[in-house]
Amino acid sequence: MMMTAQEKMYLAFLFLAYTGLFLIMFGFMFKMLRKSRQLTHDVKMLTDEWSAREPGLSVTEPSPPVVPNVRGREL
Amino acid sequence: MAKIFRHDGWYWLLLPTMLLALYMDFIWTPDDRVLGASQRIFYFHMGAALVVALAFSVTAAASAGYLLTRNLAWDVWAAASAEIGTVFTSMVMLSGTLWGRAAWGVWWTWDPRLTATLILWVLFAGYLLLRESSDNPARRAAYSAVLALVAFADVPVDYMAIRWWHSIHPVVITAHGVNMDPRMADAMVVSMIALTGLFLAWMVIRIRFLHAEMGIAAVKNAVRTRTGP
Amino acid sequence: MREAGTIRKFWWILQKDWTMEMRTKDRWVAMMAFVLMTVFLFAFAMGSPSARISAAFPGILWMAFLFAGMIGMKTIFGHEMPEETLTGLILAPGDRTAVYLAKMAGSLIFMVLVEAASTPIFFALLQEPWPKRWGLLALVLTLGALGFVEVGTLFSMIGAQMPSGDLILTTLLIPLEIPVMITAVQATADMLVRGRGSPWLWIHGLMGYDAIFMALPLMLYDYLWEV
Repeated sequence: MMMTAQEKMYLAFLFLAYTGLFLIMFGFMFKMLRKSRQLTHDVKMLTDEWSAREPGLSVTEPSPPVVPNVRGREL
Repeated sequence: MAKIFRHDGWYWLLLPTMLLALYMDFIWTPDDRVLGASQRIFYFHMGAALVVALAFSVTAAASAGYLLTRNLAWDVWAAASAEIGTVFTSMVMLSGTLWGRAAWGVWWTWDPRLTATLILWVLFAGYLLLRESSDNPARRAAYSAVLALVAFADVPVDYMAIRWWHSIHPVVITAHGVNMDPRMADAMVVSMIALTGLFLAWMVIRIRFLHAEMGIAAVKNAVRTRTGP
Repeated sequence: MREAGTIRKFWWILQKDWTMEMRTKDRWVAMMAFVLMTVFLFAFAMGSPSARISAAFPGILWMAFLFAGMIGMKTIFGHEMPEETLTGLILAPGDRTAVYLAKMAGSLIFMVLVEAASTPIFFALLQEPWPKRWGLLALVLTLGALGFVEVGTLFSMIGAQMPSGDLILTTLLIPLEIPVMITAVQATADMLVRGRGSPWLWIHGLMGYDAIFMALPLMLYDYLWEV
């Protein structure tokens, strides 16, 4: 089954459309990549700041692995 | 200009790879003798299917890792990989229905692979739902890890159960090597590489965001408990 | 000594659940009522004695059982939650496996009882001829119930401990039970429909599913209780 000239043209358009879509996505992902790096940096700064201010404060631990049965303010 | 490449320079490798893959799929490969231009759907279909297998394997392995070590870093890997895997599964099914319409004349049949893929998609959508509706991170991690492992075991069983019905899905990679024109095979491999690269870049982004989320939650928690009543 | 304690724990939990069920009857009534409603609805929806019902009969039967089982699943751990009695069960002397196995055995008994009580009603109301090999039918019903209950118990534990757990339980359980559904329906169809070959292939498939999903929850259930 050979393609007609018109079908070939459609295919070229499709190629361009997909390339365009990919470029948009690529740019968006690059932005997100930069933002995530920035955010990682900011969180690290925040953590360092708090642990420097109060050495007793454990900011690297996530919340404790127990089911809280007394509801706090956030829960 | 150098500023763009300073961090995450590897990311720019994705650009030429993907453009090459797109060019090969749309322009460079010959038409299929029987299927014509609709053959070109197949390259990204195959690449996305590879990423799905990769992503859910990463999820299952990371879930097992979490249950064994109780380290939330594993859970982050599992969650990120499951999210992206679900998106790629949607992509596989979408391209598959389009291709099926062109090749078989129907949008959907209850073929083993199609059905197993659909079940996989539903299960991991459920996985994301489970993650969404939980508040305690450790509990959420344990539950979703259990679910991921059960789902990962369920899909091959599904496949076997449905395979006793007649299968019409084409088998591309057999024991005798790849069953198609060498140029098509090249395009397929390049598409696979490009989509795997996309998966990796996306993983990096998601993992960083999830880690940042965790870090902020930890700081917030620590500060709260200190100033609490 | 440890084994003896585990077996005793298993029996006690089973007895406790049975006594509770005998007093409240909520699971029994809900499941039976649901199954009967399904028969009525199908009879009304498809117009009673017709060839269409005959072809769809195994599917109707199993769909009713799976949804009834889903209703039963919610109460397995549901009544342990309001007063946190599950913690007591886990901490009681004996292995924790006993809790999981007893809960599973309990819901298996209920599933089988509901099936035993409602299968004749199904055959009578939808005017299907009773199969000659009813022993084989009983085997398929039991194996299907076992497959359903194994996965169901594991996930009802998750569902009971989560906000909006009911919703998630249903969403997760249906796709996981698809192999049971396929094999059980095909085995039943082989028995009921003339000229369809031996049901043993499907029965073996059902057995395989039961074996796999017996082993997997036994490896995993422990992790659900640690947090």
